Amino acid sequence: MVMWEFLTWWYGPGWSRLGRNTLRHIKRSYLGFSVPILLRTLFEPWRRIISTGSQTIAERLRAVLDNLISRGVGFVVRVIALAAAGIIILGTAVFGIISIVIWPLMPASVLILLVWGIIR
Amino acid sequence: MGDNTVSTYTYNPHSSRRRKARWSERLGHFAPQILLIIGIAGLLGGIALLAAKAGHAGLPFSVGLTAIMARIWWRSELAALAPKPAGSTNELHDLLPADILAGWSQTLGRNEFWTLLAKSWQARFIIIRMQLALDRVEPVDSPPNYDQIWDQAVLLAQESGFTQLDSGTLLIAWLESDPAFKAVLTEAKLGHDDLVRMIGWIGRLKRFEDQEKPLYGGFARDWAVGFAPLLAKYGQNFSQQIEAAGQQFARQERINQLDTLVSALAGGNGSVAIIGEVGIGKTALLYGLADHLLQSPGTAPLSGHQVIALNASVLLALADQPGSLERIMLALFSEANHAGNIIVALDEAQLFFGQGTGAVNLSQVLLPILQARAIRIVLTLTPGDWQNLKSTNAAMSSLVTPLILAEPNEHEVINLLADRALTIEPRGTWTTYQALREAYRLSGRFFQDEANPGRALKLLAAATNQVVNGCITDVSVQRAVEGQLGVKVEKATTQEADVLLHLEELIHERMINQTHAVKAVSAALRRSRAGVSSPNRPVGSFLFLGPTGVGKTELAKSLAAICYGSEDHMVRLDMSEYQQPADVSRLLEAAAENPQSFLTKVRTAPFCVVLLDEIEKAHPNILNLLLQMLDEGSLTDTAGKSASFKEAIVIATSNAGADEIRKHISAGEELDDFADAFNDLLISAGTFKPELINRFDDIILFRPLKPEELGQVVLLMIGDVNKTLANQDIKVELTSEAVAILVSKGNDPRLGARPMRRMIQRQVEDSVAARILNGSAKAGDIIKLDAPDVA
Repeated sequence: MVMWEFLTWWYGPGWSRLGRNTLRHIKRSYLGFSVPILLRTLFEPWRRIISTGSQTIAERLRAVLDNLISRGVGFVVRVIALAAAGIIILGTAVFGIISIVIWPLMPASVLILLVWGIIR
Repeated sequence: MGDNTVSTYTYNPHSSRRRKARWSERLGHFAPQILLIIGIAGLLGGIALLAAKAGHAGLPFSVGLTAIMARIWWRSELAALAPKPAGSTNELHDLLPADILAGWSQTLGRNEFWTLLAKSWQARFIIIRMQLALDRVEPVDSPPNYDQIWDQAVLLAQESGFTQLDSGTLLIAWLESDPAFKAVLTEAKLGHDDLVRMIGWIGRLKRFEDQEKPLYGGFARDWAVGFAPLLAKYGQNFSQQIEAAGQQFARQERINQLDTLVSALAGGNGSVAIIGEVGIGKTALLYGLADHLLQSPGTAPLSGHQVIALNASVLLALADQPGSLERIMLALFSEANHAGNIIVALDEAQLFFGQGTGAVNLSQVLLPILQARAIRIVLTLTPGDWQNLKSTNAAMSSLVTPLILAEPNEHEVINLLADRALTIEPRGTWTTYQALREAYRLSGRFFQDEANPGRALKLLAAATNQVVNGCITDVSVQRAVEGQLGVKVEKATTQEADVLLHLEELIHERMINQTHAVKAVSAALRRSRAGVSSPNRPVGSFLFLGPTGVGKTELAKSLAAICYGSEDHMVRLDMSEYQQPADVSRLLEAAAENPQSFLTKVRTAPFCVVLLDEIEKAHPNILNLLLQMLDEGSLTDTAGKSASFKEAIVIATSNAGADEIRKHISAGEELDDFADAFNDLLISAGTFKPELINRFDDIILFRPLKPEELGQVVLLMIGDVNKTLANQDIKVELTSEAVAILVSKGNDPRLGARPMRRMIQRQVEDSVAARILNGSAKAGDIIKLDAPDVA
């Protein structure tokens, strides 16, 4: 009876729960790395460091350059963060998919290992 | 298959959920740790055998894997067998919590069922926090009426809003449905509402514990916003404080107002004035806003915005040169504008507009900022300050959206107290439910300066210093009030009851005769302390009528000293100073206009004797106000704040008809013989309106003192002189001849005993002083004064 209840859960709610948990971990990694914010602000200046109040053309050109640098720094840092997020999310997803694949094999593995352990 | 019908409920002891509940119970709470150890040991053992090429490596691997799979199953399913919501099913095996389902059967006796319930933390939480003396219940072996318990549990769960039954709900349902526990609930002073609140308390706690840790926007949240070093230095960052503290229980209040606040900030003017009385939770709402915005998803309005509060006093302290404050403010707002994610909160905003102590007037700085709508600003103000702002600075007030906070009701306040109690109670102590209720009740009676929930929370926090047997109880709260106000609110103790029963004797130690008056006021006080009199009126209200110098004021002072601990607990008004219609506003002056006003004194020290001298001289409009004071036990000042007289003894005195009293007494009549006729005379003569006379608990006539009573007054006054001389170890005694001379000299039929004080001063104190100075009286001496000494 215990085995039946266990297997019913393992191949039913347990398996789908594993899928849900994988998605939850992916979502938490996605939000933990602030991916939506990073994407939305990808080209924005780094910490809003911008030049304003320029009068002459030279000053304006200088301001444009400063702002471009600020945006460039922001872009690079965000891209690095997005890359890190991508690696973590991908890793989580791969791990989750492997788990989902391995999950149904685990009860059978116990039997196989048991038989293998007895005969060898 | 094995279905047994229990009245309206179906119960299948062989159901899958019950079987799982039993397995979970058998495995016990240490199952995950044990299974983990076995799992790791198995895998390591398998690896070791493989490495050693010893063979049979599959055996430990299979054991380890089995243990790990069992652990996953236990944690994911067996330990989390949630019941279906109450009302959704009649199948007990789906309705009951797993811990109960595992051990319950229909034949389970009361003791066994009790043992089963008591294993859960919820049941222990209830028993301790509700101070239930369950050991006093007669033990009965027969099973309880389970049908009634399930019915009641379903009702309670639905009423509380937490629809999944747990052991706590079942325990409360049993307590409420079984007559055997009625006495226990009565003794603990618990009703149905209290029990429902307790279920809610546990439900909120459980929901909080089940919540996932919030992410607060992730690590790159602030990369797109500007730096704000000045604001970080001079402001208080509520958002950072919340992040640092992590998830907190009891931060789930005023959800509706939060939504309104966010909408108003996100759209419209972009600036909001949170208006509410002191203690209503304006600052708490700002913390709630900070928490809400931190947890909002990226797409929500104002998501990721931080709430930074500026303090007027701190900013004022920074301004060392003229104009520097304005420069600092402009720099702060410029920084907030540049950062792009800051909501500036001006807590106690009136201080920024030049109102109140420690205020600065920054209207000229703030007005253009509000007009530009570049920065979101939240002001917190009391209703009075908001009115002031509207009248003095209409342009500014029109630029902010008012959000008026209403005072939460009793249910909301007690729930809030319950949640906060868990964070403020010292480690190892338990705040009882009764303490929460008492904090609500007593704060409403004694701390009316503040609104709820602030006043109740403050009182509860003060009560944490008065732990009784490891618990913060209703007695702790009463002691906290007593400690703060210096008055008795605890149920009369034996010692105090003794004082109350012998009040007349105690008063007579301080004043002579007037037995009728003393008896009447003593009876009123006994009624009040025994909880018999109306709690919505003053403790006692008396009109003392009689000639000058017969003890009216002395009785009032005696009451203040005996009932409230000191003669200083007396608020005295000379009503002859309130003869004009305009004097009404002076009587009702608010604290802001006059910190020493009548109502402010009563509000800050509600336990007092209110003495209204010469009441007949007051303007009729003033007397009308007194009607309200006597009827409703409160008066409202010009700022709209009410002062309670429900803990006060109100005594009005009057000399009206003094000659009439003297005439009757001279004719040999007793007070009782002419009291009614005398009262009628005062009404018919228009001295007092009948509605005023009828409002007093008692009209007490004082009769002129007889010469022998004046002799006793002399001895009382000599007693006072001796008290003063006690530190020099000198005592004064008078011969009977000396007393007689003092009485004859000090007696004035029109002024009663009043000239006696002067006489004692002149004839006795001066004489004693001379002896001390010339060295004829020294420590340990008894100065005996005879007739020639006082002549």
